[in-house]
Amino acid sequence: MTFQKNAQQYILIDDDVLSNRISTFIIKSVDKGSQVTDFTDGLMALEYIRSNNDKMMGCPPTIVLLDINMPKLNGWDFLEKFGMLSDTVKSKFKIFVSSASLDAKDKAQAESNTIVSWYFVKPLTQNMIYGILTELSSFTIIPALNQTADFAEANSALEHPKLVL
Amino acid sequence: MLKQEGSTYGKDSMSSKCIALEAKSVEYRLKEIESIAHIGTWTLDLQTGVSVWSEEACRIYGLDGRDTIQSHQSWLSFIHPEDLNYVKRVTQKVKELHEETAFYYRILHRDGTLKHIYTQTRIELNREGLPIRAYGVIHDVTEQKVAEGKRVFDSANLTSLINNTNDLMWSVDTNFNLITSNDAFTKLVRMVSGDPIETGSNMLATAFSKEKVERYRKYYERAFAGETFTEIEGNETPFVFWTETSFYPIHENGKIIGTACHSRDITENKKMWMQSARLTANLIQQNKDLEQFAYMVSHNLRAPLANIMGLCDVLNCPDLTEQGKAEMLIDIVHSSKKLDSVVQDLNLILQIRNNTDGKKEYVSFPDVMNDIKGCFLSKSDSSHLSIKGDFKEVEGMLTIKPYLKSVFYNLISNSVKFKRAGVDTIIEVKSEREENNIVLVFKDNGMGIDLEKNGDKVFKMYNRFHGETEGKGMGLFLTRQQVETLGGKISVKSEVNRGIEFRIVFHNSGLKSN
Repeated sequence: MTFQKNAQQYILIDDDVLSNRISTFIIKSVDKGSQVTDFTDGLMALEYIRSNNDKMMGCPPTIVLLDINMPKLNGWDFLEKFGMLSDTVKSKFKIFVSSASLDAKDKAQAESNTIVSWYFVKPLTQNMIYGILTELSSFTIIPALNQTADFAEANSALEHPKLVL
Repeated sequence: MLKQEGSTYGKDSMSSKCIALEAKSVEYRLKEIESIAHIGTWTLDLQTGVSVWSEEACRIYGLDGRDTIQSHQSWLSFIHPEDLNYVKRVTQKVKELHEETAFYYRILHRDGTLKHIYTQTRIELNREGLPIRAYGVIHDVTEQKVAEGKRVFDSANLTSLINNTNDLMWSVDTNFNLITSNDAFTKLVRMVSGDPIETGSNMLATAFSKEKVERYRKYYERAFAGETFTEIEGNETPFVFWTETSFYPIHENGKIIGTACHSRDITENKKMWMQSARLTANLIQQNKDLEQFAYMVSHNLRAPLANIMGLCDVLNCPDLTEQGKAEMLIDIVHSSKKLDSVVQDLNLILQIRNNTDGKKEYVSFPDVMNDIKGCFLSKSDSSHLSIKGDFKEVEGMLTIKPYLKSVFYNLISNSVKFKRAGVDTIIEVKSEREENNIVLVFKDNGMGIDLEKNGDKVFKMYNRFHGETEGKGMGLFLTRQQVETLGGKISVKSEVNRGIEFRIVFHNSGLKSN
């Protein structure tokens, strides 16, 4: 997949192919010009991050939606490996951890991890994407979105308690 | 003292009255001394039979202090009947041999109480060498005798206590020689060595194992260095038992001359302790399993459900094409089926766990093996597969047949699935006897797994280790559930590309071969 410099970047890491398909659809329905790259294996995602992070200079941070429960390399293992990357590389990514389970321990563990921005329970909804984008825009201008009518909707979505987590 | 005072008065040539007064005072003091020491004096005129007793002597016999004139006969009337003959014999001997004699006897005090008397007697002879008078002292030794009697009684009691306990007691001097030991200790040594142990035997030369003798040498040395301590240890000979042994240095004149040792059998306590430790470990494990189970359930049930919810969201999107919609519907169907299969799995697991009182029957291992082998060897790609069974040691067991079959099926299926490419798969199943336990070993030469990385996950639900092979991570989980329901424990040994070995131990399963 070629990297589109002007698009908001999304990386999905989830061994559940269907879940990735749904998330992609939801993201695209909110953030129309975005580029979504999905991985069923955390190691491949790490490889992608290593080889493409230099192209992301000057772009808004890439949004990473990371599933916890995966065979081989699970979400926590991924975070450990990601944490070992340089601060410059890390600063180009915002990591959102997702899980299908309602386990409170996962939530607590995710929230105690400084690399993780938020934890959310699947399925991914449009409101969550709005919330994520609003959160990002509070420290970075997202030109593509500032102008869209969707943004007003995004703000209204935020009137829900923060992402209903 | 008397002599000194007498001479002093003599020098001053005091009047005879004065001397008489002084003599009275001496006599008075003598009486006082007698009374304090419970010592009385007496004389007996052997011609007349008249006896004169001192005041204290009278009091010892329970008489008025003024009843000083007595006779040999009156004296004999006080003697305890049991001692009378003895006393008569002794006094007769004294008269005949004119020897100074001392002896003990008992009297009955006037108030009826028993008293112990010690007497020393001398005979005075006349010029012709004939006995004319006997005299002596009597000493009331009742208190000492009673105390001594109590000591003898206590010591007998103590000895009987020490010898009637099963605890081992012994003491060792600094040369490692036995000072003394109780019956239990002697018995144990005899049981080990065949010979009784005697005082003075060297404790380092006993028939106990070298290792044990050396261990005890160190204990004794610690005690000789002044340490009081307790050691708990397991013993294999002459039978398996646990002991708690304490060492107490023996001090004499500020020096340590040896150690006293006391050893108690704590096998029962230890057994109970070990049992409770085992129970606790089991409970902790079960709790962990339940937690893991709950986690997996929450995730695996929720995952397809989350997808269905997501798909429904997507279906509501206005910009979804008709074709997209149709695809989403198919996905919803798939997810629903997945959800259902998880529910089915759960149902199966709960059934296994609850079926602890399932019908048990004698199941022959070779029979099960043949059934299961058929499932795999009939397939077309079975030419590179060999499944061997060796059940010579144990041919079968009392168990729930469908579970045992399922265990065989799952483990063999596991080996078939995770074979190494280009290598003929060899699966070996073997039964072993281990004390009261039946052991089943399943071994293959397949891919194996990295236990260092995944050791704790092998038997967990929905855990998978080989992304490239089909499976949903239920086989080994179910196997463990079934093994545990059958009262067994399963463990695994493996190295990547070195095959895998599963070992199932059924504890205390009635080892009847038929």
